[in-house]
Amino acid sequence: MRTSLNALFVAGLVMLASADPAPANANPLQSQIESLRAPNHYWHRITWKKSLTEGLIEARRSNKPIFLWAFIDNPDEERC
Amino acid sequence: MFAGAVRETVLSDPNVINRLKSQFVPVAIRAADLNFPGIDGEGQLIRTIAPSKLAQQGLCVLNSSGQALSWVVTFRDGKSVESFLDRSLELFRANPNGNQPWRTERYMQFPEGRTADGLVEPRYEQCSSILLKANGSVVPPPSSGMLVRLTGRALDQHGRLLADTLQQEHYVEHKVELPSYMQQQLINAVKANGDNRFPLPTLLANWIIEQAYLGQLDMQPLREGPHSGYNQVPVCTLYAQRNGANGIDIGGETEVSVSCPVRPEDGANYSNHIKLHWQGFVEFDDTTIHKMLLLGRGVEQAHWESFAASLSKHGGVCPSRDTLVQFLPSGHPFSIDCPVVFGFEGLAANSHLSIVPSNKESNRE
Repeated sequence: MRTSLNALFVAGLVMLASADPAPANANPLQSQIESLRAPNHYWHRITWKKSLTEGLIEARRSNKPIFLWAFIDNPDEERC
Repeated sequence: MFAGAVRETVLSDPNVINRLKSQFVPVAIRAADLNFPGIDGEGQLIRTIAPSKLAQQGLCVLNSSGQALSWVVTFRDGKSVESFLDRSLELFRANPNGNQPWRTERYMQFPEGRTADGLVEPRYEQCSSILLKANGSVVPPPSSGMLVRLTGRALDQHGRLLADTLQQEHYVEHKVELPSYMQQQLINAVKANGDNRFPLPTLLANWIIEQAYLGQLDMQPLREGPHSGYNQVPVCTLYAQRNGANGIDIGGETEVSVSCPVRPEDGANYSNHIKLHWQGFVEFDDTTIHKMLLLGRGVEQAHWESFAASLSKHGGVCPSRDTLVQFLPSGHPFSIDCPVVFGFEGLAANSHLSIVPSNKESNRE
């Protein structure tokens, strides 16, 4: 198992390196990790107020209703 | 699961996203706060809407005094999501300020599954008083640990990243804190072992194993609590070895599994089995880790379905979005068996760590 995982690991690093060129001046491992993140992801397209207090202040300022989502934690930063 | 299903269906539609940004004020609160509101001003505001909720989690539209205009749990189909937004705007126009009694419309499924309305007293004066005291100041809780950003991807059989990043069994982003005491344990162990390789402290090893998985929260290995499944860790050879005055190399193998044949409350049947090879390093000073990079690569076999939404009911494939919005509380069924990769990037609390991709601003049109 260890040998096959090692081979898979090395093969994966080659694939990642070829698919996403590393930014200049970056640590190679850091570049590989950063290349995993999807740009323009759905989760980040809405800026959520993190409290009802903040939301109501903004609702009164903008004369808009609140769309409230009861979530596990922060919807743009967390697994759920 | 509800939250993940909402994010993958309702909140992935570009029209819905644009409407929420332009016609509403999007607010996300913790489900725990909805179900157990505090005694401060925020708690008082939440306590007003809590009695009319239909479930532990949900979607709600409120006017500017915090009166719940409408609640919804699921939708008939994709089009119904926008119809719900239309209906909620009508209700808002009829009662924008909350200075009159109101009947909250409540839908287990919009539009047909309407249940008894909830009754709400006028709220304008009371809400104004709370907001005046808050004065717009909402202070986030302090963080004492290291912020770690995790990204997980599923790969195809050729080792290429899968293009789909919508569903959590293919793509995960997660921010989590590495507690100070785990950092201290590692630093103490390095000092005690000199240049020798030593096993990573168990708490830190488990912390790594717990984060590195695809799928929703229910699929987390080593999760404790009433909803957790049966866990096994047959392999954990994570090690650390000093590399220079302030560096530590980390490596090793991990294998972990979690399974639950039938969860009593919702009939969920799930399993997750992850094998990973790790490589990484840590930079530290006397008391604190100030940088951590870890890459785990291997394979993951995961399966999830429930009574409400099972693969067998849908010909072995994941149902369409039109169907999935009917089953938000149970999430969508899936099964994966593929190569995976996980990256951890941690910087000390006083360092800048952008949790959002650098091109985020360009998406906020």
